[in-house]
Amino acid sequence: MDLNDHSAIRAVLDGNPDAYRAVVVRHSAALFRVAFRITGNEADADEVVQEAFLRGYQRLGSFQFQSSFRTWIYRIAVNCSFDCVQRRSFELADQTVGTAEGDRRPRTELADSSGGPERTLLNEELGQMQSMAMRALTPLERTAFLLRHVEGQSTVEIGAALDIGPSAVKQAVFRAVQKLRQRLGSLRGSI
Amino acid sequence: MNHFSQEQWIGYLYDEDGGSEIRAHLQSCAECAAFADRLAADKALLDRLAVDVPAREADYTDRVWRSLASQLQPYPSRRRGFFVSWKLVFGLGLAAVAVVLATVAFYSGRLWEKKQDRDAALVDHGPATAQGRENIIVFVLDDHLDRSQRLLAELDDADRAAKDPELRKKAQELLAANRLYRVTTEQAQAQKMAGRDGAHEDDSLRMMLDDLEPVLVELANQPSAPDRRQIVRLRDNMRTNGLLFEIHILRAQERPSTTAHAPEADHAALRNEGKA
Repeated sequence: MDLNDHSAIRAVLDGNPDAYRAVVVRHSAALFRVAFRITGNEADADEVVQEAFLRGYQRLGSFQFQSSFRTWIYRIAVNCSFDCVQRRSFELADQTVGTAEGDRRPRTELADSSGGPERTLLNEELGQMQSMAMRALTPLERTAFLLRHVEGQSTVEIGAALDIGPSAVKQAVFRAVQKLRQRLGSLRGSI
Repeated sequence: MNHFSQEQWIGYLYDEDGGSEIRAHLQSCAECAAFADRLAADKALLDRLAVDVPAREADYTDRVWRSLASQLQPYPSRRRGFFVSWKLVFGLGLAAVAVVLATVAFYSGRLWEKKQDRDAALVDHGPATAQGRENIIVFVLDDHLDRSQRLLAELDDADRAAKDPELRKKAQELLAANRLYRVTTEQAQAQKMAGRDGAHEDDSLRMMLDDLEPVLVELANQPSAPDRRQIVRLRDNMRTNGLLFEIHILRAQERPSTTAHAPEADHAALRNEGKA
C-alpha cells in the first residue's frame, strides 16, 4: 500500500493500524539520524526511533492535518532523544563502577566500523560533546537549530512546523549558534 | 556596533533572504566583515563536528515496524463496511439515548417546576431542541469532567499516582466515555450551527475533550502500571496542569448558566404567590 503521510494517518484513525507502516518506512532513517546526533549512541538512537513512532501513534488523534507529519514526528523524536540523554545521565550518576579515571561515557556499538577505531572513538566523543552543548539550548533553540542546520529545512518550513514566525525561527537559530560556539569554541583549530 | 539584526545575519549565514544586503554592506564595513567571518567560522565548526551517522541495515525499517506493530491498538473504526458501521452507529446511538434518558429522568422533578420559565427563555434564544439538548449534555458531561479532573489532579502527585493500582483502569473507562461524548458534542454543535446561519460558536468544550483524549490514551495504553518517572514525563509532555486548568474554567463557566434564570425564577415565584 503506497500512501502519502496524511492518507496513511487517516487510514490509521479509521481503524487500520497497518497503514502506519507507510510513515514508519518513510521516516525511520531521518529519525535515526537526529536521534543519533543527539544521543551519540547507536543503541539509544534505535530505542528513540521506536519510542518516537509509538508516541506519535498514540497522539495521532491530535495531529493537525494542516502541518507536515515529517516535522511533527521529528519534534517528537527530538524530545525522546533528550529524555534518553537525561535518563542515561541519571543512570551514569548512580553507577559506582565506571571505566578508568571516572570516564563514564556509554559505550558505542557501531555496526559499521569502516571508519577505523580512531574515527569511531572521535565520533563518540564528538557526539557526547555535541549532546552536552545542545543541552544548553532551550527546546525551541534545539529544534530550530537541528531542523535548519542539520536537516536543511528553510526557516519558513520550520516556522510552520513550530507555529512561530520566520523571524522567531531565525532568532532561535542565531542564539543556538552563539551558545554552541561558546560551549564548543575551545575545540576550534583542533578538529 | 552591529548594523544588522539577528534574523538578517541568519539569512546571510544560510543564504536566505536578506543575505544580499549584508554581502553588499561587507564591502565597506570592517566591523561587520569581522563579525561575518566569526559567524562563518562558527558554522564551519558546527559542520566539522557533525558526527558520522552509521548506516542502517537494509531491513532496518522492517525491523522497526515488526517491533512496533504488536504494540499498536487499533483506533475505533469510523468506516468498515456498511453492516459493521451500521452496528457501531446503532450501538452508539442507543448508548447516547440511554445516557440522556437517565439524566432527564433524574432531573425531571426540578426541571418540571421551572418549565414555564425555560420555555420563555428558549423562545428568546433560538431553536428549543438544540439548546435543550446542549443543556442536558452539559449536565451529563459534568460528571465526566469531574472524574477527569480528579485523575489529572492525581497525576500532579506522581508518588501517589504511581501507587494507585486502578490508575490505568480509570483512564480506560474515562477514555471510552470521552470518545462517546466527543461524538455527541460534535453532533449537538453541528445542529446548533445549522440553526444559527453559521454564526461563530464557542467550541471550547469540544476542544477540551480533544485535548483530554491523548492523555487518556497514553495512560490507558501503558503496558504495566506506570512508575513515578513515567508519570512525571507524561505530565510534563502532555502539560496536564494546563488541561486541568482548562477543565476547571470550563466547569466554572457552565455553572453560572444554571443560575442565569434566577431573576426569572424570582418573577415566577412572585407570580405564583400572587395567584395563591
